[in-house]
Amino acid sequence: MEQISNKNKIQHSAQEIALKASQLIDAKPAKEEKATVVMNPDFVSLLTHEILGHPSEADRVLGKEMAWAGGAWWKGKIGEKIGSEKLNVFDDPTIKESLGWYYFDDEGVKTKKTTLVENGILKNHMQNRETAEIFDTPSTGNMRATNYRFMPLIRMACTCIGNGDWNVNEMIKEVKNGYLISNMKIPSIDMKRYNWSISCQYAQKIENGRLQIY
Amino acid sequence: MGIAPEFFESIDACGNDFTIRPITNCGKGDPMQSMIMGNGGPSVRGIATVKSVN
Repeated sequence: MEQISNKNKIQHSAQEIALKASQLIDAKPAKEEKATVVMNPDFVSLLTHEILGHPSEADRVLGKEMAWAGGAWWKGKIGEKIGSEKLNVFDDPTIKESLGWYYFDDEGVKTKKTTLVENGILKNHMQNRETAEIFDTPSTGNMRATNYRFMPLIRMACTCIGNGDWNVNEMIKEVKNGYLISNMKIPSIDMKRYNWSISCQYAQKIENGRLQIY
Repeated sequence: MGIAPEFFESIDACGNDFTIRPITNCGKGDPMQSMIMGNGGPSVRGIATVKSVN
């Protein structure tokens, strides 16, 4: 969990923001291309929310939210490979530093970490007591309402892509032609979370392993 | 931007810089409910289409 916790950190962050604003004054538009992208954790947070978290809600998977929130392209694919073995995804309501921290959901189910994708294999969805019966699995404790006036729905608690073992500088160093994509902005995703488009706050070109400054 | 399964398959490296961010206004339901939650991850490397919007 990243926190701005003291005066030095605040001043350092302010300097970084000022430098970035200065560089963006002369930024050039990127040409459209399919390329290797290194996405920073802030951008990945929104990406995870939109194309891994939402389609993991079992009510969406079952089509119960189709008229409003939409469905999920991976319906019926539990146990199947949906990504590379580097991809691990979980939802965890027990992380105290997260805004999605709680002990019991609104159906009284005690919370714990749920594996959603393991080494690229789709393992589970977020469940309430009703959908858990349909999927023949325990509830994952994700049933939450905004307050007492609303009916609880299956909601993410803290859905994340799991940590790897790469230093980000090493990840960049191996890229011949690509981009470093930084910080979340606006998502645009289709009803089944299949086609995705997410804008970032800024991107930097990577050429032969080095970040380019334009 | 990209197609989810193609992008997921293209991921070849995840960083050791795991970070959680606050999401304060996720909407769902009828009537609409706004919910707070966390989302996070490390740096992720994969293949996607990049374009400027202006």
